[in-house]
Amino acid sequence: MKRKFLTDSEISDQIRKTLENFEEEYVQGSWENFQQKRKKNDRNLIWLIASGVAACLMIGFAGLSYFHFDKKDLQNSVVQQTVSNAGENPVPKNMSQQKSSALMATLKSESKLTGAGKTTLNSNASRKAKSTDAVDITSAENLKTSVFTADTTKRSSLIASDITSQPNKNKADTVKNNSDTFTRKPSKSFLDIPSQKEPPELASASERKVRFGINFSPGINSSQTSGSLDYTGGVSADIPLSSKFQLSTGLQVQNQHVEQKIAGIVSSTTAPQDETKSTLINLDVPLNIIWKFFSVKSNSWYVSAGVSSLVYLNQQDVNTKYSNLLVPVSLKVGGSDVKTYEIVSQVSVTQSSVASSQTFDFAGRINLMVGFETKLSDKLLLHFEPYARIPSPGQTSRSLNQTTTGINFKISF
Amino acid sequence: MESRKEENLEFILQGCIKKKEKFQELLYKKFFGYALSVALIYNRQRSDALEVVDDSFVKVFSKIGKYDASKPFQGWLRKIVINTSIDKLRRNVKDPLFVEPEKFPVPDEAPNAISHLAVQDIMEILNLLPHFHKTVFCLYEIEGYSHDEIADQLGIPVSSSRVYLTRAKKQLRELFPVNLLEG
Repeated sequence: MKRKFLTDSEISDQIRKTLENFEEEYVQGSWENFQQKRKKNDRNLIWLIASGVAACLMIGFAGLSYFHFDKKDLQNSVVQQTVSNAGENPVPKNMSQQKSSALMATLKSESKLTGAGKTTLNSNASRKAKSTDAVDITSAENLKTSVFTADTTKRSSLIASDITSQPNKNKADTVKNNSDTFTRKPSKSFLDIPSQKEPPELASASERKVRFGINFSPGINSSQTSGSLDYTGGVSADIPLSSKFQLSTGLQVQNQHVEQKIAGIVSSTTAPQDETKSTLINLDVPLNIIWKFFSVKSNSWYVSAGVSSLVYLNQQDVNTKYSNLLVPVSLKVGGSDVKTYEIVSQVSVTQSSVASSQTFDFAGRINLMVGFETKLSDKLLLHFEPYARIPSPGQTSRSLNQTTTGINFKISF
Repeated sequence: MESRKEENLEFILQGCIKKKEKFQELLYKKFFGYALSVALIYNRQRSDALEVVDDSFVKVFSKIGKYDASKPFQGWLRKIVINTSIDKLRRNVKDPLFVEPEKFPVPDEAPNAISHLAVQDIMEILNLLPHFHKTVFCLYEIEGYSHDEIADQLGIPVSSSRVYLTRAKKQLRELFPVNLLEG
């Protein structure tokens, strides 16, 4: 006897014919599941749009504050430059001569009211105004000290800043204008008033540096069918963009356990679902923007958002398949053999591993974080950061198709 | 009876164009079985097929305004389901957990005659083929796509499409249960 193989066209016809009239029946509850899934997708879309808008806003704020800082810094340096020039030349030709005249006029008029000599003028306005700058001006003309506490308008404060921003090397700064000379004691001058102190931006600029940190974060991987533990640890670098915004990056090693149950083509009630357990070790390169929205003393609260890109270092899969087999069993009933069949469950377990760095998922996850930091010492900061890592929409890698939530513990220095 | 059914479908489609949920439900329930049967041909796992069906209906509901009513709705739906399955296949190739069968099991001395091969048997045999081979075979033999179209859809060279088809046919010849023995 010879075995006859079917021709290609016979096989194709057979398959085509069989599948032509094949139609599954409606599975109860599918519409409800579909609706639920659709709502979830809509929610995800809203989340994505919201996080995109938030990220854009944060980047916008960061950019604005960065450029705003630069502008202020530039203005300040220009003012300082002008004043230092003025210090070298006591009678500045170009330096706000009109402003000086205006101040002189004000002072003169107030001097007339109070009389010459050691007099203190406290204007009512100055008492009321919170932003009043104290002005100590000594009349050089009489070689006596006249102290004026004047309500400084924007204009006069500008003049004052021009005057007082002179270099500290002079014990007393002097501005000569024709016959009038104003001398002030530097210790109680405009330099000492808050507005003349180094602006907070400048102060923070002097503190600006990249903060490095080490962190460890246990978490839980959760999908619709399972939940499993996840550990992440690594190093981070926080790069300040402005006083309130930071760019955070780093290198994290993540150990993920993924469990997936896979329904077979024919749902069986007797055999359990096939499952795949995977242990994944991957490198995670996050890129987040941090916004410190509230700071009190040595504590700060912040929110963070960004994306993570991943490279797989190692992956081991354990696939467990369950199947039912019909096994023929011979029984002797009444002296004759009776052939029956019984169902035997079969379990097959296969292990496989995937070589490292085969896949790179760029921006595979969206990171959302709320954080709290507190000072441990002058150089050390402790951070607590509850986080959620959500797979990017469109991301289909089963290993990434899980939301991870947990708390990140970080020490930065 | 048939024309009334068509009218009914037209009525449902009009409701879907107006994004009325009631009509969407009717359309979903009416064509779920058909969509699932197509999805099962191109997806190895039932869960994947169900996912593809849902994704396809999302596309159907969002693009129903573009549907050309002069053509049969089933054809349009079939194309959407196939395209969604192919998209899923292309994405899954990047999946680190995507595993192709390494060995083909030796076919049993089949108890069933070919003429009695059930859908289930055909599905199981098709699922023993590597994913790309199976997809190329189905697109070529069942859907009637050309190699150029298949190559375009799957993002592979035309020559690969031809090779996959040849290999798929060869494997199917070996896998098909044969009861026909020549004396």
